[in-house]
Amino acid sequence: MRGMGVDMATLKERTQIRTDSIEGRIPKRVFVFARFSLEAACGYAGVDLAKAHYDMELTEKAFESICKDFYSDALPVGNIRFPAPYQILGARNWVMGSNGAVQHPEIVTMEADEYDEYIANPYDAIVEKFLPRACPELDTDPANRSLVLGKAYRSFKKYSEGTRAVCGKLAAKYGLVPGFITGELIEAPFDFLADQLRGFKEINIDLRRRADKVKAACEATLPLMLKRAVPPVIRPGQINYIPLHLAPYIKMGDFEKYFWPTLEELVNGMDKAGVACTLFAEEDWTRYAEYLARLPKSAILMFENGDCAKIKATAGKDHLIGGFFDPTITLTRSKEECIDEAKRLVDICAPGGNFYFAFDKGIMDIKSVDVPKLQAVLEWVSVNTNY
Amino acid sequence: MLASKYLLDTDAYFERHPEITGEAKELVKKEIEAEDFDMFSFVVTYVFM
Repeated sequence: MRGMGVDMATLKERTQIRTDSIEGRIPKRVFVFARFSLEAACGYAGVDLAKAHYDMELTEKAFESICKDFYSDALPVGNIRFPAPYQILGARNWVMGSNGAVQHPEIVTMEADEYDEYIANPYDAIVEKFLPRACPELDTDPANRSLVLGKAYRSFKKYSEGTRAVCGKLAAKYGLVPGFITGELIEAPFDFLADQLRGFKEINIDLRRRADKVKAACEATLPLMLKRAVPPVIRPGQINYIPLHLAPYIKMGDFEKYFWPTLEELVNGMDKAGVACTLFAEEDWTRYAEYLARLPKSAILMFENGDCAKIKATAGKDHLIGGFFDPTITLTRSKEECIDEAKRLVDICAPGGNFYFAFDKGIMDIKSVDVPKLQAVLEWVSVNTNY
Repeated sequence: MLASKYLLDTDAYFERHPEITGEAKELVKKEIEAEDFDMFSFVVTYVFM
């Protein structure tokens, strides 16, 4: 594959294409940003996922097999869900399944009558009340609670730093540049409230029964997200990551009143501080494309589904956009048809720049794709999208 | 913040160590604040996102 043994000229070219894409100039060609999870990488490399979670050498072996065999300009691998810290905490909100995949079960850690407490001081409420509910090992006396949290944090540091080291090593070896996620994981305040505090079902009830509390809770969450988004020391070129969850499942009126205002303020706040972000619009955000178009240009957009022509004409006019390509089509279509689909996407989204090629979401299971056809698609984009 | 709630009571720490004053106290405070931010990030991002 062309990814192997990359020379300095290629690395320089990739860096320039990435920089031009971020800064709104038309790059030499379309930037390719493929993404595979640890689960998919282990499946491809024949590595036991449950063991790889605890063994950085196995993680490296799995990640390297992807870097070696699939074309991407950006590092195509990464992982943030390490089971060990969650297990130390006894976490109910992130659990490892029998196949080794770390999953998020639906959970409610904040009751409906606790909104006022959360609104008054969200962080205190999280630490003192909701955290021990999500993580029962913390529901103990102060001395043991400190020990459990300290152990979990140490474990998290060990695995996150280990993963960063592996990624850095592979990026250097294969001449891969960073993608468009280099900073912190952040959430829209509404999603933060919905995902792990109230849960999907309860937040939808709240929108009908106590919408004013939802609004106040989103406003109370915003400073927490901003604090996380803008660290004391900002890294040059920092691009935070905001996966957007619940908006496609609520009414436009609720989106306008409860979801959007604090998200917009969050992105504006980051932009003012000199921090960019990539927003991943999960599911279909076509109906919200004009809202996304209002965000500062430092916001990079990634889409799962949707009308790519309409999105290109609105949000994609001034913003760098990518995504849309469903890699699972490789299981049911011929190689030529898969390449035709990539070509269709490029023909719609690439004119005028502001486009990078990415999957609709990171590949979770290698069995969900036909490997040779997917490799052919990535190769095609890398050699046929010169401006 | 988290460190003072779960791991370290900052005020009590300085009460126990009156010898830490002036610039040194500010440096220790800064270190605790940095640790606080890391722990805040761990709880908010890793556990609750």
